[in-house]
Amino acid sequence: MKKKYFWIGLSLLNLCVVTLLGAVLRSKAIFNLPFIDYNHLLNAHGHFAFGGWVTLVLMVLMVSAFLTESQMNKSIYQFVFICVFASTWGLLVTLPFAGYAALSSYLSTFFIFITYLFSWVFIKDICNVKVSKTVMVLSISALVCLVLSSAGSFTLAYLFAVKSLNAIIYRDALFSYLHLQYNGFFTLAVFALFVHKLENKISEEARKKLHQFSVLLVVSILPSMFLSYHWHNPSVLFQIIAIIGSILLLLSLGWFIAVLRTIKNEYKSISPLLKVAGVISFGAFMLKMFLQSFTIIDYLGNLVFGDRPIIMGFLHLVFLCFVSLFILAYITNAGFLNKEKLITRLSLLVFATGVVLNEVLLWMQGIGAVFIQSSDLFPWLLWGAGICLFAGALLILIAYVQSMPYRKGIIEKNIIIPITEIRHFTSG
Amino acid sequence: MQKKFLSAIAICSLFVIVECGPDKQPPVIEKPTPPVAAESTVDNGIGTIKSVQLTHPLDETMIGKGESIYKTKCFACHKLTDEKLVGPGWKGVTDRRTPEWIMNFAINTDVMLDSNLVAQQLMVVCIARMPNQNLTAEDARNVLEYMRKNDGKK
Repeated sequence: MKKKYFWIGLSLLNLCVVTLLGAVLRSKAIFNLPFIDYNHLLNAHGHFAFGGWVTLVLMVLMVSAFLTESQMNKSIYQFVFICVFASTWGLLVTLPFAGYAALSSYLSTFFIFITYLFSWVFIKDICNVKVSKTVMVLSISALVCLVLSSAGSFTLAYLFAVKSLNAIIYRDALFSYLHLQYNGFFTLAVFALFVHKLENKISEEARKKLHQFSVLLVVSILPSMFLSYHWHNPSVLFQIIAIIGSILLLLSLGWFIAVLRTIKNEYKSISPLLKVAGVISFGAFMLKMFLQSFTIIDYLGNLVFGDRPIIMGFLHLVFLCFVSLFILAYITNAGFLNKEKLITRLSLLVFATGVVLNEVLLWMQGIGAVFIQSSDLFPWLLWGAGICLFAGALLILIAYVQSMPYRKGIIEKNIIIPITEIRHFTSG
Repeated sequence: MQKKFLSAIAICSLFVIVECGPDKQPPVIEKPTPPVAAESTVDNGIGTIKSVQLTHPLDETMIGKGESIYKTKCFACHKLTDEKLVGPGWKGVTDRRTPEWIMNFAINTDVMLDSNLVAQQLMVVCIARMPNQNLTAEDARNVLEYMRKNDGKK
């Protein structure tokens, strides 16, 4: 695709901004920073992480990995990426100062309509491409979830507009949105990329297992959304769907473990650093599925939903550990970063350390809240983890810029090697 | 190609115009009215706490327990200064609210946020809804003592 290196570079710049905002938020808990409104900045941090980093990078990767050369060069995709980039930067500039004012509401509405446009065009294109059924199911479902999640945002926007934060609607809308984004769009898109990368190298049997897992995962999404409504104790029907959702989550987790066992050999050949990132990422995915299915137990659900560090821990488990580390490992493996260079390895190491440190601290703090155990050091350690994440993201960006000659080398090499190899490098 | 690109822009701008147009304003339903002036009625909040017996001097055991609750359950959102984090800073809270209001809010958070005007106003200012922390009356009393110490009460 034209300019795919450019868009991945901008996504990595956006990741830097996300981690910088995170570090500033952590600073606000310790230092006196009266000029910063925590909640406005938190909104900016969240919106930018969703739109500017993960949505943009997943869109670019899906287009460049799945579509044919002529499809991915359509100017409509460039238009979508420009709009995503511009609207998320617009939100970044307006949200910290004005909160949900007129301009930021227009921008986020515009962003949502751009995701509709992308989904429509992409789904139409992927139907005409020779990708496996598994990739097709995963990527189309991912985009359907992305579109559905906007119902949650519109409900929230409405509640803010009328200044009514009704407990039940507010939390249901928020949790539905987060569920469809995290467990829907992000997770399915990640697996679409993973399956696409892997399926040509594995046995027929492993491919079949992978397909069954993917279908189970897709089927589990809507029923498991009802786990989020479970806390306000609704009707028996809701309870039954939530229980089905919980069982489906455990089933797909079981299938995933079976898949991992059959593809063990494939995993051995990749470099140690990417292996570590992969282990953390898929470990986080399995932990997520396990924890999510257990919120069916009322006692645990109630405990978790009021415990801010645990909520933060869960959100960052999916966002940083699972999704972000996977994407970074994926783009490194695909040759966007020169993995032979010291700075690439160092940057990924620093970022992964920050991710793990952040997660361990939040869970310790969250579980400590249950037993009324804490330490004065937590805010400082969390601040350190935030700085570590920012430093990692900054180093990754520097490594990306420095890998430019390496990427040029790949492109030139492609001209003389067989056509299948070109597909492998450029789409991989 | 060019045509498709232009039509895409046209469709998008249409969406924006439709969405942002003046008649798309959501209907306004029951905005919270401003709180009743403090002098006319004392706002003790809603809940089981009707009156609190304050001790002078402060109770050190309660302060200790209140502090450990603060450090585990409260401090992720509330600072001890007057600076707002997720929720309001605690400095001066014992002067702004009655002890009964504070304890009721800590124990009966959801009901207060749905029906108490002051609580609702704070929620709108903070654009965040405080989740229920499952505190007992005793826990809340300990936290109140810790707040009094934080405000320099004797």
